[in-house]
Parts: sequence; C-alpha cells; structure tokens
Amino acid sequence: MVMNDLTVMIVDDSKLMRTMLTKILESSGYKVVAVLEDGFELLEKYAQIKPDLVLLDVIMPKMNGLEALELLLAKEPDASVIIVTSAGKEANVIKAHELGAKNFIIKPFDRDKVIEIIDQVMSN
Amino acid sequence: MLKLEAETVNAFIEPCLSVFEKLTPKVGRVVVGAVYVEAMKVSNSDVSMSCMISGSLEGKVVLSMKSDVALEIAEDMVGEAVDFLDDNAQSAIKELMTMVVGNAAVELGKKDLDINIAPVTFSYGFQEQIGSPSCPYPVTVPLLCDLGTVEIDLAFY
Repeated sequence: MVMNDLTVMIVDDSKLMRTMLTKILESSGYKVVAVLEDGFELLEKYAQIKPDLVLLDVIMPKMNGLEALELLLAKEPDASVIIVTSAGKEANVIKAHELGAKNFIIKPFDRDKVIEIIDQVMSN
Repeated sequence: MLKLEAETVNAFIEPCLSVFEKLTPKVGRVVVGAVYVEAMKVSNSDVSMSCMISGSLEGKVVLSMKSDVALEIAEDMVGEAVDFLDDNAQSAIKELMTMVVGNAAVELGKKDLDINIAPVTFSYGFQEQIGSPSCPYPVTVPLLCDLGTVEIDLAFY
C-alpha cells in the first residue's frame, strides 16, 4: 500500500456507500477525514476541514450533490470534487463538469476504477 | 393511460440484471418472467423500495421482494451477516434501487428521454400500493432469481 498525506471527505446519504468508499480509500493509503450524509453538512464542514478531495454523491435528500457542488465552489473555488453517482446521465455529467467537478465515478463501481480516477485527479 | 414502449421497459430491466450481477452475485441466475399489467396493483411483498421520477417520464418505480430475499441481498452487499433489516441493510438495498433507476436514466437519456430521480424510500412490513388513480395500470416485470422473485413495477402517468 502506498501511503500518502492526501485527505478525503466522503458525502453520500448511503451508509453502504460511505463504508465501501472509506474501505477503498484507506486500503489505498488515502486518509478519510470526514464522512458526511448530505450537501448541507458538506457546506458546513468543508471550511473547517479543507480536505484535498471531496467525493460527492448526487441523489441525496435535503440538497442534491450538484446543488451542493455549485454552492461549495462559489465559496471555495479551489475545492477538488469528484462526483460519485448512479445518476450518470449525460446531462448530469455535463452539468457537473460545467460547475467545476474534476471527474465523475459511476455506480456501481470497481475498486480499481475508483482509485484510478482519484489518483489521476490528485496527481493533477 | 400512458402506453409504455418495450424499450422503455427494457431500460429498467437491463440495469436490474447488471446491477444485481455486480453487487449481489448471491441473487444468482435471473430470468425475466412474463410482464403483466394489474389494475390498481398492490404489491404482495413486504419489502418495497420506491423511487419517484420526473421529466420525460413522470411517476414511480418500485422494486419489491419478500423480506427473506431482501435480507439475503443485503447480507451479500454488506459483506457480513444480517439478522434483520436494520439501517445498514436498508441502506444497502436502497442503494441497489438507486443504481437500477440511475442506470435506467442513463439508458433512457440515450433515447432522448430526460428523467430526474428522487431519493429512494424504503417500506417494510406492509404491502405497497403500486397502482393509483393517476396510474391505475402499472406494468410489472417479475425477475425470477435463485433467491426468489423480485418485481419491478413501472407506474407512469
């Protein structure tokens, strides 16, 4: 396992997804510094924690991931966000890129694909 | 009554097959049963996940199954023993449903149908009303799995 100092925040309303992503990230040497359940929590906690990367779900109650992404990047334009969702329809992918997401991971995902995309974003 | 085209129905069946295969191999072989329409259908299963959709199609998609099947699927997804449908187990099968509908939205998008998906709701212990006055004739696709039958209902206005 390659250890690194990169910190990641996970935002997903699904407990299963939060657990799966945490395991994948930690087994690849990333440090998961916060695991949140919705967009409001992201907006509240991002500034305190300032992770190197945010993995953000789209379909969530209260505030969806694309709305949260727009609000986050308006306040924190340097935030790196990867969208992780099953709602991978073209319109969402285009909107996420326009809003400033660094990449898109489609559920269901493979562990290797998740790490490949994260490594790629973090190396940039 | 909205007339559902076969390719619209297929757009939901294909993701069921691929998501089940990837996330819950314990489901085993899945055979698509005879599609049927039942007036004002009430699910005969005690576990249902319901997802409201809007856009080019309006209505709801319901995935229903008996609780023993739901338990086996949740156990497979979570990767540990599950004795009852607790928050963790519910989260797992809700996610399964989200992926099915999300992947269906991708397929429908290729046919120029743009649909938006609401968060999935889970119900346990009672039989979900599928048909409604605005959609009295939902379309049901039974998926016959090694674990038991899972039904997907498409109730669009």
